[in-house]
Amino acid sequence: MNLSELLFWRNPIFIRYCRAKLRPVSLISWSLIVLILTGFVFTLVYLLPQRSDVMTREEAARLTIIPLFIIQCFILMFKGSFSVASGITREGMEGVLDYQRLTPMSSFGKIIGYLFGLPVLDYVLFLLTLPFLIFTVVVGNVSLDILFRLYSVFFTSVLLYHMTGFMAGMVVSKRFLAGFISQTLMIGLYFILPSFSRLGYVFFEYLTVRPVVYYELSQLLPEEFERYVKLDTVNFFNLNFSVVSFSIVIQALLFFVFFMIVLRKWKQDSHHLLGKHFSVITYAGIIIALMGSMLPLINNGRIFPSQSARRFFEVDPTSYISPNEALLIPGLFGIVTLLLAIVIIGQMTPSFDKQMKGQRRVHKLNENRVDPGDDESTSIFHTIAIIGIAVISWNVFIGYLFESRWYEGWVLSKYSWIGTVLSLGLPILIYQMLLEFGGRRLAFISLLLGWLLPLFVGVLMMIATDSLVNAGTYILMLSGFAFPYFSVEAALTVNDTFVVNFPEAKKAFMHVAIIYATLFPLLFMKWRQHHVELNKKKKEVL
Amino acid sequence: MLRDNCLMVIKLYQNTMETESLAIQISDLRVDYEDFTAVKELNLSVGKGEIFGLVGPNGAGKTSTFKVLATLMEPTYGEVSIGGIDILENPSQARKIFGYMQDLAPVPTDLKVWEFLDLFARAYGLDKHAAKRRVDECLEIVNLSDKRTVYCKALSRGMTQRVVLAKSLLHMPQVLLLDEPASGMDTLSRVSLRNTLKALSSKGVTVLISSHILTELSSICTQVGIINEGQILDFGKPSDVVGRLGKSDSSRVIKVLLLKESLPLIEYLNDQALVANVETSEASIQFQFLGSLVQQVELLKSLMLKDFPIHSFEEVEVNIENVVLNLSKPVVSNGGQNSK
Repeated sequence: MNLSELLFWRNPIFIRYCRAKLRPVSLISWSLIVLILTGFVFTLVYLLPQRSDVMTREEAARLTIIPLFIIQCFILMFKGSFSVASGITREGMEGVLDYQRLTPMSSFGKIIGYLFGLPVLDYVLFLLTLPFLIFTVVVGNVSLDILFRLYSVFFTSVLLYHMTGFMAGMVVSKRFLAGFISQTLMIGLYFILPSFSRLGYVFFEYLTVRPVVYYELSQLLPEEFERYVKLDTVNFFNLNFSVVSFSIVIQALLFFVFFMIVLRKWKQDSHHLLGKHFSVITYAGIIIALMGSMLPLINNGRIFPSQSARRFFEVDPTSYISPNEALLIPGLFGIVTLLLAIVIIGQMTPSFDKQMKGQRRVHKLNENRVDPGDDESTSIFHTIAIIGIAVISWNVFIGYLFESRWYEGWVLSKYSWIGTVLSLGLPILIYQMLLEFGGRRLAFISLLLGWLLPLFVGVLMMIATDSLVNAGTYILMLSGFAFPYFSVEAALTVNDTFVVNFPEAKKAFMHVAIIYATLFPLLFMKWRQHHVELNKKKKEVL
Repeated sequence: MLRDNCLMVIKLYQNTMETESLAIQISDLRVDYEDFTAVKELNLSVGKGEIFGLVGPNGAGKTSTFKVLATLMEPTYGEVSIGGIDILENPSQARKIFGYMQDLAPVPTDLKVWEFLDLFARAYGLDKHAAKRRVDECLEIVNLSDKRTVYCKALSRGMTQRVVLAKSLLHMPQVLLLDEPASGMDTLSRVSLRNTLKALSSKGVTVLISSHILTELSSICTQVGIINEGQILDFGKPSDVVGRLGKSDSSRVIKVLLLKESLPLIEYLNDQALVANVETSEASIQFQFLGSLVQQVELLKSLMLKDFPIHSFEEVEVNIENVVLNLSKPVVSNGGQNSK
């Protein structure tokens, strides 16, 4: 690896984008837009509170950091990610990306070049906002320590989102679609996933700059804002981390996964996003991160939305939780592990053509089988590993929950582990087999008709009228997505104090488990037949 | 000017070529796209300093072969080496010694010509000054020095091809892979390309070049291979291959353009001993003439005298579709095809 490739200002690709993106006309136009808008908003926020005597000059100057920070986020995160995603897709569409693939620069150097080169205009526009920031720091007497912590996480977030854009650009072949997807991913990472923190999934919150912003910026604001500051340290299993360091570590890990994806796509466009072994490691890593950040929230009740809300509004916590909440939290964990498994398995399962390619190769080379780690090999073994991780983690999670004071009076069936194995194992294996012998289209249609449709129909029936609740439960449970939730409902029995919403849930779970268990051997035979045919076909062709 | 360019190329390569044998070697190469097999068990070896022309119609497997050679595509299986380096095992090493130019090669629309070349000169490890010098040299080789500061998007198709050729020469490759490099080029550019390639070849650079027009390559290639449906159908010296395919002094394809359809004309041609493979369409008749030039003139004169509704005559270039029609079976020798 050449050192000059890593020093991005000497990197040929970075220099190329400095030339292309910083041409005078474009630079002057964008600079004017940013300076005028930032100047207007900044001055407005600075002057208005002073004029109405709400704040002192120093306080008003401190307040300006909020709009300034939002503008900076927009420039570097939103616009920057779009620049990266659309830029890399354009290179791919034009065909010039292949030229770069052929240069002897290291893949790392190429990625660095694109990562800093494509959004170079956005970095320059960010620099133009710095005089305003300096004014804020000087007049508002802002601690440089706070500023350092804030901008450390800001830049790791920026890199993460740019890498998200890069990944989208490498995977999606249409320019504007890639830009759109990268921004959708960003919105998902920034607004949708963090909202799950109310259900205990605080891990997602640390993928954003929000916890750090709340914590650090609130120290700059008048005291009445202080109650919004809820986090100073983060508990991960039995360890304590500062908000800043935890955010940086979590973002760096996700950045690493995205980097691996880009690296693989860079080396060969036809590669899967992640190798099979690394897919399992990634899955395990995400599950560990989820559990590590969720388990410490059980005892203080913050994992339950009701208790979290009471704490937020400074209402004394109660000593109990509602049955629905008690079922929701473990059930949702099962659903999340299932969804993550579907995503990971979806990208690592080879298409028919890829499998055929692998078979032809081993036949030609007189080898026994495709290496299990190769893209062309079956993903069944890695799927089983993922199911193992999912089932174990889910059982551990349920065990921790059940031992907590919140579940006093509840009885956990000693056969609950069978429910977790069935409700995760069967849907995931069925999905994998459909993907492998039927291809993505069949798997997608099966998910749509077999899983989503029953979910929607069941929910509608259950809310339509009381008489349809039981029928709705049966239909809803046909969905693989709802299956884990109802396995929890079947395994947990509440004492007489509470009434469970769906009294038929246990029976329905048994029925649907039987349906899945019947379907499984049929699909397994089909899957087996598919591999026999594959074996025959490779010999016919050669 | 062209001679100067060639001398320049020779000078540039004088001290850079390694003494070891340079070659492209492909064994049992197969490339599949879903149900379609683009390349089937292809075997090919090209010696140092050779200009090997791979000729075939669209969809014959030329571009797939080039993409595998250029490390841009993983084959289903097969062994491929360039300059003795196994490109599947060690693609990054191989990339240092070959230059690749793809069919209808693109250029970035937001860069000027020199910026585009400078990017790749630096990417191949040249420092700022060396890169500038090399960019100028390569622009001179392709006769585009005057377009140095023009935006790439403002170039014509032919000029774009030449710029990309210049890019492919920046790192002084030992092997050049040129997939349809002449498409879009005007006559002068084609002549310039031929001379450049000959000069490179004379200094030991191996060139693998593709085209769907046989005659386009026959004048510069030391060897040609005819490829169709992913297999080499014939190979050898261009004159031998062309001769075998019917393009010789005593065999050419004539196209007669008609004012209207004429059955008597078809019958008349079919009766001629030196005429073969008469093909008709609504407004023309095409046939192969096996006689000498004098006999050809006699035949055309007789057609005019017989008052057939003829509009004009033209001699058709032997294109690869004609060639492939003449070769139905692949050449098989000692377990595969080999150019040498």
